Amino acid sequence: MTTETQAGARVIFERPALLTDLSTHYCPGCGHGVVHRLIAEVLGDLGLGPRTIAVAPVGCAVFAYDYIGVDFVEAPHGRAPAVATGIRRVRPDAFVLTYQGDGDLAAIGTAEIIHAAGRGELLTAVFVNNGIYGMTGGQMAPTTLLGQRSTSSPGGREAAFHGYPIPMTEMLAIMPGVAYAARGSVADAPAIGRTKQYLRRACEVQLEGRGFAIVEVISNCPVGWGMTPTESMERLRDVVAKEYRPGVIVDRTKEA
Amino acid sequence: MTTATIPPTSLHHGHRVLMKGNEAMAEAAIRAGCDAYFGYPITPQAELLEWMARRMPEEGRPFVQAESELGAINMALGAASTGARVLVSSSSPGISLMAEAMSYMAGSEIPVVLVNVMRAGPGLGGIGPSQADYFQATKGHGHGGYKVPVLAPSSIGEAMALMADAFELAEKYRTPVFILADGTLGQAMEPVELQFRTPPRLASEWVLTGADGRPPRVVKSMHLEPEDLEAHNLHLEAKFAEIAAREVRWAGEQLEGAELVIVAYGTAARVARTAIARARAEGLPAGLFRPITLWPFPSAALAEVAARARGVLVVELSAGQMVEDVRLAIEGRRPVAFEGRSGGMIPTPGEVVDALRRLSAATADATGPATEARP
Amino acid sequence: MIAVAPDSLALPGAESPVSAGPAPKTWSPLHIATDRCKGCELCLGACAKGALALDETRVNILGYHPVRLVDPTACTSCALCARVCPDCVLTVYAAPRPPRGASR
Repeated sequence: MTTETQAGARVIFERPALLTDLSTHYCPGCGHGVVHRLIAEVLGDLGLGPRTIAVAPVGCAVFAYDYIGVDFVEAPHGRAPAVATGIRRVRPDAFVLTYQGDGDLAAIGTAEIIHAAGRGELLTAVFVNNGIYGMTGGQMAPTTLLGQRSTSSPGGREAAFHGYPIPMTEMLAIMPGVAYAARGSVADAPAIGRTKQYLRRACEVQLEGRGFAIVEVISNCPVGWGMTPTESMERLRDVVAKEYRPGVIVDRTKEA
Repeated sequence: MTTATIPPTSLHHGHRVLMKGNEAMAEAAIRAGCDAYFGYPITPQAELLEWMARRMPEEGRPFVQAESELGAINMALGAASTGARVLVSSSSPGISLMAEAMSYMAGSEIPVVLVNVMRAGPGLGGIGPSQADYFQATKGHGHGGYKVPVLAPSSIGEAMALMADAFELAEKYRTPVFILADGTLGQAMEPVELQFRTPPRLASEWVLTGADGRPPRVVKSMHLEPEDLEAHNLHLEAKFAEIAAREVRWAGEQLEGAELVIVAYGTAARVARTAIARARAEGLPAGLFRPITLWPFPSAALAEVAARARGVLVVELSAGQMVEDVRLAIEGRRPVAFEGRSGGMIPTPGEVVDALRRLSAATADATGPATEARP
Repeated sequence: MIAVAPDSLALPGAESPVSAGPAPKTWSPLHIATDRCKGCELCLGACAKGALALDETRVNILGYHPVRLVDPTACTSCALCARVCPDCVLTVYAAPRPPRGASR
């Protein structure tokens, strides 16, 4: 709580309790701030704060443990799903969440996410995909779009030279161990609202013991993309969302 | 398929059984309270994984064959961060893959016991026994500068005892601990008197259990401010100094009157034992100094023992790695010779006796500090 | 991570801020944590009423022009600004509900 109620006015929106009262290191307009808040809201709504053991990535969100007020362990780059598997197996009562960027999950950590998903581990994986490596200065990611410039693809990504962007969540969704896979966006308030619903469902899937749940959130990187935050959200909506389409990709909990 | 022939129900404390090393280490870990096992098949330790695959579910404890050694060690990191007693096993190439996570665990101070059933390298190498991972285990393994206790059994019975000690050390000092075995120890069968021990659990204020009625905890190794990271490194160094002061272990055999001292560990020590018996029979007064902790290395004790001898012979299943620590400990005061085989070959007692004879001849008229004899 | 002081630096010619500082006695639809704002302008785009603007007469402790509610009467407490804000700068209030049975 950061404010007192004013003269009996109703609070319509405020900082969630599980989001710590710190100014973040994220760049102005960075979607990580929104995703952190949504996670804090969902965990709070579901009463999961005291039970959560979360796994932090390597990337811009390496400091996630300073901003979301739950127990956290730092994982080596890409290994969060394996670290989370270890936690899940020895702590059946814990709620286990991973938070990864596109380098962490789709590059160095491909084996770990595929096998955690393939085993149907009772985990909720959050995959923030902004198509670039922000922390290290804006290099190409496996999810960088064709034609997109980065510091390691200065002429723009070319299929013949760099390969195609990898649709990780669609690939994972093929496997029966994946109970729920969805893709949200932070491009605007309606998209943010839907993303919160996906995150909530992904948490419920774990609580219901249904299997592995992943929510990819396509997000922005104003500095890495060389745009203002407003321009980056427009690109997110008009360009990125055409390639990485938001929506529920698979929901096996509805099939049984 | 597991090749175990002994049902666990007949593995009673105090009984004498014939047991395979890999399986004995696995059962010792289970009896020591191992809460979870993560591994990946690799020769020559697959039997350890297979024993765990059968026994851990019987005990209601998690077993995971991970997608790789990278997966296994990171699962261990996660499980141990919640306070679980965790075992991982692998062999040399897989241990290389685990170096990254070991560095993270050393920096985050996460206790895990890791068994390396060494095979010959480098690279894919071979599946024969080796001691060529001594440097890897004792000189930091992963990046960034750290040490972990390294325990070296030379018999299956000792391996079982050291398993319990390893869990205890790991938790007492919040550190990963290596058990350095070799392919011979892992795959041989020998009679063992079963001595199981379950070390008591330590209460700990750092483990992740969910922030229920307490502030959230973070287990991490990153400290971005150089001042903070230096302070953390100094803290780790102080811990290493404490371990070095308190946890050194070694064993001496026939050191009384030994003018020639063999320094060897693991399977090499067993070969040395036979060689010493033959040497003494022909009048060569040899004895064995057997390090049990390879880190902290028993430097002070070795220097003292060497001072009473004419020369030192180091025997290893490698081209010579521990020999460097022996030379450092002795500081040039006595000649240090080396006898070793690589590639999965094991030095024979005959080769070791020949080396003792050469060392004896080279130091026959030694009256004081001598120059080093090169192998 | 970054320790923040609750002040912002007023540039020459700046007016008093509308909603920085302690809550006023009469209610305002928006409380702005000016020391947390990074001037990203996403809230400006979200506001259908154009009620928000960066206060270019001030620089906050983080070095940005913080957002300002330039037209409090236009604000409908829809909270879209707060939902797009990555830094939880905005807390949104609505009028107290009238008591049951009272006429509007």
